[in-house]
Amino acid sequence: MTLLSVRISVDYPGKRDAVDQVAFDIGEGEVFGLAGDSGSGKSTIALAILRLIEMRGGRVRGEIRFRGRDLSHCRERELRQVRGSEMSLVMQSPASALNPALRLETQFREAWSNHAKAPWREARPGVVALLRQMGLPCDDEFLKRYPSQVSVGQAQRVVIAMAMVHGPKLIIADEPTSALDPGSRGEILALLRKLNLERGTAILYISHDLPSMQELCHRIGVLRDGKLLSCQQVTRETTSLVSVV
Amino acid sequence: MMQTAARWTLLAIFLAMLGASAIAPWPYDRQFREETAAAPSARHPLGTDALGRDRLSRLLYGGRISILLAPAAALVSVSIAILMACGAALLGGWWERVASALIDLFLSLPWLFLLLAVRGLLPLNTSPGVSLGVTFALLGLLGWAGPARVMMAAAKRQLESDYILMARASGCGTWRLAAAHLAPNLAPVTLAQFWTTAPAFLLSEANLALLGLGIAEPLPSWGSLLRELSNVTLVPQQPWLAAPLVLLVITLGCCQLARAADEYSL
Amino acid sequence: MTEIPARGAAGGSQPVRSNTRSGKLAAAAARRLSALLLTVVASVVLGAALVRLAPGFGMDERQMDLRLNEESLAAMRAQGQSTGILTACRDYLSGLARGDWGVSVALGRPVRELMADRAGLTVRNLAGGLVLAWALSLAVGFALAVARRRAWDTSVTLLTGGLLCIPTGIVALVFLYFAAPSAWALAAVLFPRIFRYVRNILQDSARRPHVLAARARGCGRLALVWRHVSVPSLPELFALVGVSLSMAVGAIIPVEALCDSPGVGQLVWQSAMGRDLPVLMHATVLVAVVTCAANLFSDTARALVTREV
Repeated sequence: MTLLSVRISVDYPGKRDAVDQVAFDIGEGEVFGLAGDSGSGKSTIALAILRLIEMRGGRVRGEIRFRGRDLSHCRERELRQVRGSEMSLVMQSPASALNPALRLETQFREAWSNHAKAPWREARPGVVALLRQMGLPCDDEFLKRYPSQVSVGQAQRVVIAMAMVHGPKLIIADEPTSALDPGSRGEILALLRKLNLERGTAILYISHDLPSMQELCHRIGVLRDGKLLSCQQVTRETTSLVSVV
Repeated sequence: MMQTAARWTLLAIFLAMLGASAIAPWPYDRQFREETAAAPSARHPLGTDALGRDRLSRLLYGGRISILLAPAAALVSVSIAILMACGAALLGGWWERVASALIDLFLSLPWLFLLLAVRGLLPLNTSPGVSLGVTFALLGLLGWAGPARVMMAAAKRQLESDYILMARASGCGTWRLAAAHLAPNLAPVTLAQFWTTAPAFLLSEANLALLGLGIAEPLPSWGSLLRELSNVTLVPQQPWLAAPLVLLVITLGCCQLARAADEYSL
Repeated sequence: MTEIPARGAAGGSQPVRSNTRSGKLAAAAARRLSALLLTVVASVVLGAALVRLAPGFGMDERQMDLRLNEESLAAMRAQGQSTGILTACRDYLSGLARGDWGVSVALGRPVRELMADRAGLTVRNLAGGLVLAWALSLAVGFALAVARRRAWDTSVTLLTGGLLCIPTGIVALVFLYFAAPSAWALAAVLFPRIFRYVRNILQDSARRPHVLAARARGCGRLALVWRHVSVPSLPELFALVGVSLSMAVGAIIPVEALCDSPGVGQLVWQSAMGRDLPVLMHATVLVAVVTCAANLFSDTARALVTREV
């Protein structure tokens, strides 16, 4: 069943068609990879789907169908209900995705109360269990830390945990491993694969690193200059994709 | 688009004031004893003041003084600032610390206060020419601290960049570094500071004059013309008194619009 | 609920860190305090130098009196000019320590008395003006950040831009015309400047990536602007407090002078008009001390808030 169906173009002031009629579908439980060089429009698509591209001055034209609803015509209130609960974003740099002035627990609490009415103390055990699944320490001391007091790899896991708090159907991961060292990179990839296999979470995985995409994704699309060049199933033979990009 | 309109307006005002001696109907100090405090008429489009001098002419001549001297003072300030900034940044170490401390000292004393104090120390019965020179020289010599701080930060940032490293690696000397590499890259900041400082000086001169410590009579300046507004109750009955204020506001407004960036950043 | 760590809070989880941290804070405070003292000394020297170099120094009214003969005049002149700059500084500092601030030439009363009489009113004016201006700036800045409407932003920008073009003296005169308190006039002068800074700080903060990430988590507008935009900007806002005090002290002189409010600002203006050098010198030092102290306070507050030294 199709979870997300995207047919969009994005304009920036002064640059029309930064993303030019890109169309792809993502099924439930599928990991779809979007590959391309910097400037090809990958991050733009990620933000456009969540209708956050307006914050960067862009404008979306087209259709974004998510679970039967067209997000491109939704009001801000309806979009807010989708963001974080049904569809989540994981950004490239975990340090900049977390508010430096707030403790981790506060940020988790906020992520929780954005979409749930139950008080935090009821939800806390569930979140602690989530942290354990992510391979993070689950003691109080860890939750009381500030983002600057955890390592980059841990911070990215925290971001992913926050993205999973409400069990979203789709995670949009915009270059989630680019800012990490090779060791952490492998761990995050394994974590994403685990989320996909155990919880059936679909992932839109955006990256310029093809080998990692071949490990993780079911299908890969290639972007260049804002246009989608091709979409292919990942098999042993897709190493030929390297020459296309 | 608004920026271009603002720039053209500024240019028009500048040229009009420059040509004051050609445009003005009367000399600025000619007193028409029979027509003191007169209302506007064909002979005196903005009326005459308490001493019978034509307001329009004083507006034009005063404009010439203000509009030539504020940028001149700004030029002095910005020149001092750029020398201090480049010198301190290039020499580094102890020099830089001293320069920073000096800048902080100057900035910790409110500008208008310093100006007032120094201006007040001078005899009040100086000749108009001297008071003119002294006022704007003071502005220039006391107003360098703000631009200096901004430019020192910019110079330090530039010195940390890769192209400077490359230049030094190929054996470039310090002076050549400053002239050929640093100065061109600091040009935008310098220009921005000039466009910030000149209007600020215009305002400062107006404030000083409103307090009675501006340019001595009979030389007019926009600031001293504003003194007539001290008697606020007259203004609603004689709205033409506000002409210098309107012109000042328009000029400063255009300066704001003509500037690319906002200077209100810490 | 937001967590801005109070000074002792870090001690709960990591005691070793907080010892070093409070040590560092103390060292930084000592550094700034010595900077303050240096500034005071430097401004005293500056003030004394200016006074000494001012044309007509050492000349007093008795020299203008034609009834006195040449001998007495020569004696007075010699007495006046025998003091060098360093001597003047030394005399001044020792006088300051004794509590003797000299006598006002124009008003004939001890400077200390004059200042004490007027200080209360000036402090009230400054406090009133600053509080009003800050409250308005924060309220409008916050409202614009939450509303996110370009039209409102543009109109407020134009309004404050217009206010910035009007000389302080004219604003004071307008408030005088409407018989409004001088604190309001000061607030009207300070508001456009403080607001512009506040708006830029909030706008810069709103562009940071964690704000986007919070919005992607479905954060509501009010919580977004409060927790993710305003709270991380607290260090810059604290720094602005020091700057705004400097602005206020500068603006208080024309405001009090033209609004006819008998505070220290009006005294300074009258001294400048009357070339009352003792008062001017003391006022310079006082102003330097106050602004330095304010900057010291806002610097320290900022350091505490950022958990950095």
